[in-house]
Order: sequence, then structure tokens, then C-alpha cells
Amino acid sequence: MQDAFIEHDALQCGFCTPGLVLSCVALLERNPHPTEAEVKDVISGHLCRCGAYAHVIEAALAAAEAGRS
Amino acid sequence: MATQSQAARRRESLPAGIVGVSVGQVERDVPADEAQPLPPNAELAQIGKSAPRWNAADKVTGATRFAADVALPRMLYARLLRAPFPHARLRAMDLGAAERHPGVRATHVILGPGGGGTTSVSAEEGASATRRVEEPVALYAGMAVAAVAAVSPEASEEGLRLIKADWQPLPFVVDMDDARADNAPTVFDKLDVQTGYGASGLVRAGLPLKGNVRGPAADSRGDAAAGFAAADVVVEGEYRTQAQSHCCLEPHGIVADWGADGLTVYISTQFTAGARETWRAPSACRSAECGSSWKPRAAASVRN
Repeated sequence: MQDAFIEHDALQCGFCTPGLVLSCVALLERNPHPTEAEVKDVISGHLCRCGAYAHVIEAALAAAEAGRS
Repeated sequence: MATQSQAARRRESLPAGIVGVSVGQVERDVPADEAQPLPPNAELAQIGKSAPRWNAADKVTGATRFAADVALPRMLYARLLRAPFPHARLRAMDLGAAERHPGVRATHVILGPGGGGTTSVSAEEGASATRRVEEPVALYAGMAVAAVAAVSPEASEEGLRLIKADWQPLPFVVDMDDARADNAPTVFDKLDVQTGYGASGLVRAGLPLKGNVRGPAADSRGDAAAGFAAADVVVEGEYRTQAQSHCCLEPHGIVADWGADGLTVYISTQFTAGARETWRAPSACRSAECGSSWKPRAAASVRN
């Protein structure tokens, strides 16, 4: 997940990043194949002032995809 | 005598124009030692290529340190006493009990006797406004009044609570229309236009100030009447919003480290060069440490 965050540039200032990484990891642990809506729901409790949400969603879905293959 | 550059030139054919509009080749004489033109974008190794953020690994692992994380040996913790009223005269302030607190190492008067005869706050659009007052007056709730430095955040907080401030509340308004009224209590009696780093350049010098109203300033370009006449639809409305300022998530903090070779400042900033200029200013340089070796550095900016 950390690699996916770097690959998809899912961060800027980095202050919220560790929490977002953990939530996305927890999501994949209970749901290895989440939909985009499920990712959005999981990260909705995190405040990212830099606005990296779109890339966070990409990163989480890419990590799920990588785990599948 | 011909210089070397005049003597040695070569003829070069270069691509020129705007991609997507028109690109062609032009012939130019260039110095013989001019670097070769860049190859086409597709053949470049770095330019235009996606590169990972240089500190991304630290950020995804939580290793990044922000300004408020910096903890230095023998560091003191500062806290600000802030004005509890939107407009009030500070009749007296007693810092004696705070200074006697065993954990307090220093106090500093920002607004008040010994704090100078002027108060200065940042106004909109990069202007700074100055009010010259016989007595110190708070111009907004939350204005910095005094500071305490102590050995721990808790001691610093306790020191603040020991400061005795005697306030005389003054009339105030919080609405823009009320503030424009002729009988509104005035906030500033003098306006200066800020220059240097941090100034936006949007504020004009020399505008009249009447009450709380500065200006008017007028600008004109184009033909609005013709534009309305030619428009298919004209929508009229009045839109208002409060002043808005961006706010980062990281806890704001500043750590200042005085050393033999100058001052190192760890600060939450997007603009290290500007921060360095701010800290270099003579007003920030009253102590004996500011000698000829004064070399301010803005360090460890981790925001983007």
C-alpha cells in the first residue's frame, strides 16, 4: 500500500498520509476486492487538506488489483 | 579585436513554434560552444518524465518530521496570551506572578507598556495597518498580547494563567455594513502599504481613509454597457463571503535555534526564502546575538 501511495502520488504534505495508508490496508484485509465507492467510504473519515483523495482512491484500487494478481 | 564568440559560430537548424499550433524549423547562427539542442521529448531521460516525490517514502511510513515535531536540547516552550475582547484597552498588565513561576524562563510584552506605542496587524490583501495609540488597544479577539517561555508546555500554560490583565472593553462591530457606518468605531487610523516579501502588491498606496473605509479605488477597462447590451441573458446578484485563508493540517509550530553562527528556524511554511527575509528583519533582531554574523536560515520546511 505504501508503494502504491508513492506510485500514484497519493500525498502532498504527508500529514494525513499514515492514517490513510492504515485505513486502506485495513479495508483490503477485510475486503480484498473493494469497489471505488467502498474505498471512498473508508477514507471519508480522513481529512486531507491537500486534496489527494483522487490519487488515494487510485492507489488503494491499484493495491487491491496487485494483490489479486 | 574579435572576441572568441564572434569568431566561432555555427549554423544550426532548430525547431520553433508552438506545439499544436504550428511548428517549423528555423536557421540560426549560434556560438560554436552552444549546447546541442535537446532531443525530441520522447528521447529525453528526465524532462517531462514522472518522478516519485523525493520524500514520499518518509511520508507514507510516518517518518516525516514537521516543524512541531522538532525538539531540541534545553528548548523552551512559548505560549501567547491573547486578547479576550474584540476591542479593548489594556489598562494594566502584571506579569510578576508569571515571572516568579519556577518553570517560567522569560516573559515578553507584545501589547502594553513596554510593548511599543503602536500595534500592527495584517489587513486584507497584503496591506499592513498600523494604529498609533497612547494606550495599547486590542483590535480583535485573539490578538497577541504577551508571551511566556517556560521549560514545558504545561509550565508555559500555567505562566499565562498567572498574568493579570485589566481590560476596558470598547465598542465594536462585526458586520461589514456596520463597520462602514459614519459612527462606527474605527479600527485603524493609519494605513501603510506593505513592501517586500509577503506583500501582495494588490494594495495601492495613497488611498484616502475615512472611518473604516479605505478608497474608493476605481478601475475601468472594456465597455460594460455594450457587453450587457449584447448579452443574451443578464443575471444580477450580490454575493458575499467571509475572508478565507488556507489552513494546513499539521500543527503550526516554530522552533528557533540560536547558535554561534546565526539563527536556524524550523517553521511551517511554503516559502523558505520569504521566511528567511522575515526573520532577518531588524525588528526580529533586537538581542545581542544579532551581530555581524547574523545568518538566518529557514530550515526543514516539509510542506509543499
